[in-house]
Amino acid sequence: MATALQTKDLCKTYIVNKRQNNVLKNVNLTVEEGEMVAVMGPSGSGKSTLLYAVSGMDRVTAGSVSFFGRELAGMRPGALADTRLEEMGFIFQQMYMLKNLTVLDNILLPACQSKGKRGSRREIAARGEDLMRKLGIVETADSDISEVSGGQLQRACICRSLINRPKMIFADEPTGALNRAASDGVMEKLAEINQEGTTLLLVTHDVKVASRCGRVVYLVDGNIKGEYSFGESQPRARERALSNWLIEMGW
Amino acid sequence: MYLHILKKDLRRKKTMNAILLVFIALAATFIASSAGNLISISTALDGYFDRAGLGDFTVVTANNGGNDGELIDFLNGSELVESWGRSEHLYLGQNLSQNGEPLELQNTGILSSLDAQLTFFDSENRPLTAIEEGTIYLPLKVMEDAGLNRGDTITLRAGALEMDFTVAGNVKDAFLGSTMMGSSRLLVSREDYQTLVREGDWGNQTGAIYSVKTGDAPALQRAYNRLGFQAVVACDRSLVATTYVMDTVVAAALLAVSVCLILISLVILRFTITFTLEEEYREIGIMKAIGIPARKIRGLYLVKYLAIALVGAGVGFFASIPFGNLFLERVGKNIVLPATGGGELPLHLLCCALIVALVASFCYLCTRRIGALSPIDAIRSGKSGERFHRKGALRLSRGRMPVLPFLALGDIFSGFRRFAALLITFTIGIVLIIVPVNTVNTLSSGHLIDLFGMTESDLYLDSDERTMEFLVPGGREKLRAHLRQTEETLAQEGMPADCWAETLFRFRITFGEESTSAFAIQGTGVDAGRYTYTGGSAPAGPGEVALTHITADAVGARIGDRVKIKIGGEEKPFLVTAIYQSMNNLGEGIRFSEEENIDYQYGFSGFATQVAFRDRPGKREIDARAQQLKTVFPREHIYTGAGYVSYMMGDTAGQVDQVKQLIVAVILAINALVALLMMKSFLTREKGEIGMLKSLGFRDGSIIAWQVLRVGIVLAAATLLGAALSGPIAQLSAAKAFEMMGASHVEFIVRPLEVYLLYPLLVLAVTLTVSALAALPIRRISPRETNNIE
Repeated sequence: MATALQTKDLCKTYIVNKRQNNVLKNVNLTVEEGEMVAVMGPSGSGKSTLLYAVSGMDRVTAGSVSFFGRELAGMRPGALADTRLEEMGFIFQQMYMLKNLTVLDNILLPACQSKGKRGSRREIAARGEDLMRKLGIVETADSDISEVSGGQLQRACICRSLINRPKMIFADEPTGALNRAASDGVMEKLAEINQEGTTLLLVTHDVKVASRCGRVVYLVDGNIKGEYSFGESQPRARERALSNWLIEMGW
Repeated sequence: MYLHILKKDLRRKKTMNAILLVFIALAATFIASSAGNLISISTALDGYFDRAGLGDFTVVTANNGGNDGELIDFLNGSELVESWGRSEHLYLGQNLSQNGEPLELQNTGILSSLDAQLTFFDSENRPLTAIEEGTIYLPLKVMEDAGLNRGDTITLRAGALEMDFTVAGNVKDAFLGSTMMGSSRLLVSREDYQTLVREGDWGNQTGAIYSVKTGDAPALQRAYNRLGFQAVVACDRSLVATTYVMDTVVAAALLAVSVCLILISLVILRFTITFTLEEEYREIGIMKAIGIPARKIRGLYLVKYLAIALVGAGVGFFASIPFGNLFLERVGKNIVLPATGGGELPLHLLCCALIVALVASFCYLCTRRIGALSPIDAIRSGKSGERFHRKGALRLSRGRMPVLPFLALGDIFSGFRRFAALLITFTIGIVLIIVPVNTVNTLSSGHLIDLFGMTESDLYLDSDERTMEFLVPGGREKLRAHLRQTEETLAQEGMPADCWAETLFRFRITFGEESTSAFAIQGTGVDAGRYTYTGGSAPAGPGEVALTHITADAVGARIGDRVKIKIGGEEKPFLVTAIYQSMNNLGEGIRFSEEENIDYQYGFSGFATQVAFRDRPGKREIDARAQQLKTVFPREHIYTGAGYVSYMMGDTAGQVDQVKQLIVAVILAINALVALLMMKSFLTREKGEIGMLKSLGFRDGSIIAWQVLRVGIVLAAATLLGAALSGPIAQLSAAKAFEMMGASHVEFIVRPLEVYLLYPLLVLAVTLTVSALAALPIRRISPRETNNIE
């Protein structure tokens, strides 16, 4: 199995009011292809910053980020944008979509903008509808984004992240704004996507969500304090084991 | 605490506050300067005539050695005349020269001195009270045409007498100052004038101007017309005012620009205030949530906008003075304006105060909803709930439209109100460009020659001196011989052509009880059927005439009526067979058939000899032949159609062209500024969406293109809208100017490539370049800004 993502001594520093704030300190993280990894940690530990740094959304201050063997740190902005468009998918906590577009059009946007051969507009639309069908929201295709529920919108965001068949999906608190039922539905779908071969890196506060991943990385003050790989197969058992481990980590 | 919140707000929302400040300053500048100009220009002519002491009715006589007894008797005997004065002048022919070269005046030169009848003004608008001996004042147009500057020396010869004069400057002459008046007055000192009269050989080159005060100018005009006195010009103040039509057109064009600027300012101001206030909704919601009363929140924003409005209006006040003067300078060349800039300061101040009141009112209205909004509604940017209405018909999934145009169009259709301000601004700009461009093209084309009682030809050979040779008994035969001779000469030069010429008269025409003195015209060598008529058929033989609608209206005649025309003391009946339009003498006109036998000694002038080449050469060849013919006909000025129209209209096209250039520059600057500020506003508002598109993998270039494309689409729509509106607006504006000169209907020359492509492309290039530059900060927006989406 190839390495999907690898960081070496990754540092990210912000300067606010002339004061240096080291958010990530020499983070070394490896995600193998096909893995589903959760990043957990207390508020302000640098989880989201790590996600943005490894996905090329944010420039790193020092260290390297290798994405399927290609170094992102020195990549030009255009090339980085192309990598995000063609090979990465993003899911945010808030279901960000363009207000003027229907749900389906929002999903199709990255595919229509893609330079890769994504097929004709009709084929792209058919794929978008397939994804929506798969995530159980096909009836909202022509709806305005203000007409659908948060759970439906988040699933639409997942469809959008999948439309270009990315190698890896980055998710920042994908269930953070959802109720439990919607959250379960979304995680169900993410797990299915992962089982179909897409690598996933997600940031979460939710033990139940993290317990659906194969591995959990615990971040404190910009450093990886520990990693947990599940040995259990029963969901309840996985959840309990993760909770215990997190308590050990000081959660 | 309020001051603290206010200070924080001003500092934190620098961009939006700065944008609002700039728009308020712009609005104040435009409105104050435009209102000032409006007052200055609308009262300019009346004020100028009053200051100059122009008579209510003025008569100019010529070539009768001061023998105006019949007129003087009329003036002394008429009850309508309150008082009258007389000033004498000399007519200048080939009398002037500079450095041995003859100094050509483009129209009739009149030499006189200062007198009690009229006050003249220098270039600084100061009344001329005395002229130094040995100096001469010239109209600005003469100085410009001859390339004369203050301090240059010109020589005046009259027989054996030769006198040198130093140019003292240019003079503003209320009566003859318009380039359309056909005469230019030159002023020398009383002593020099007496010397010239006494010692020079002037023959019949003398004349007088009678300036009459009356309480009823139209009645006096009618009484004068019944007298049938042969004068060069007899007109009341309103007619003199009409000769300034082109200055008025320039002023009107600038006024139209000013009114449009006011409109643009108000539209943009409304947009900016609504836009910036919508930005505040989230904070309003938070303040409401923590329990601050709506009244106090509203007060806070009113204070903030009032502070910005006061600063903006202050800046606008100071900027309005030079900006207003920039426009007025274009109008003040021939007219003494009541005040330029400084005199209108209280008005400027009032306008700026109005802007402050307007901003406060807008703000008051826009913040009206604060009381009604719940904290949560306010936090949701003022939207009280879900929106269930359908979006536009555009679907990415159904069409083939590329993503960026799709996004741009989607934004425009779904948020049209946001782009309406841009659309209105751009449309006004396009109309303001197209109308003067079409007007300039029309004025500078040869087609207007129709409106001067002529029919189009390839070249025009003009010589006043030659024309005068035909204004004698038997002159028509001489003219025919001259035309035959010209045709033969042209044939010898390998340019076979037909030649003809028009001779001008002034006759009294009577129909029933009504009578008027009118400009009359007869062509020699050309059939009357070749001219354009608006109704009826061309006068085909003796006893038939066509009348302009102005002359027909003046006597109440229609096609089929029999009018009487007094030619050389004998009154003859004529059948009116056609109506036509003309800009000669502000629309007066009688056209005789070529068959009509008129004694040319009654003629007072003529138009150029017209040349129509039989081999129908192209424009370039015509220009080349014009050059070649300069040596063949050294006595004549040789014009093309456009050149002759320009000569006839006193370079009106040039004046309008200058205004057009100013308008184009102003429109480009305004479009650029509005586009810049709008882009800044949009970027501030759409940071989140831009961040999201970046996170999806949209390149900076694509996002900039999306933003710029929206402006481009609005501009393209504005161009179409502007092009559609420019026709009717031209008929309401520029066509009115032609109407004032006597042409009831003018077909504007529209050069589609220039009007619909070149200028829109220029506007597009400037606006889009500025928009793209304004959009460059998109490169600095991080994908993490996605988190700022509301």
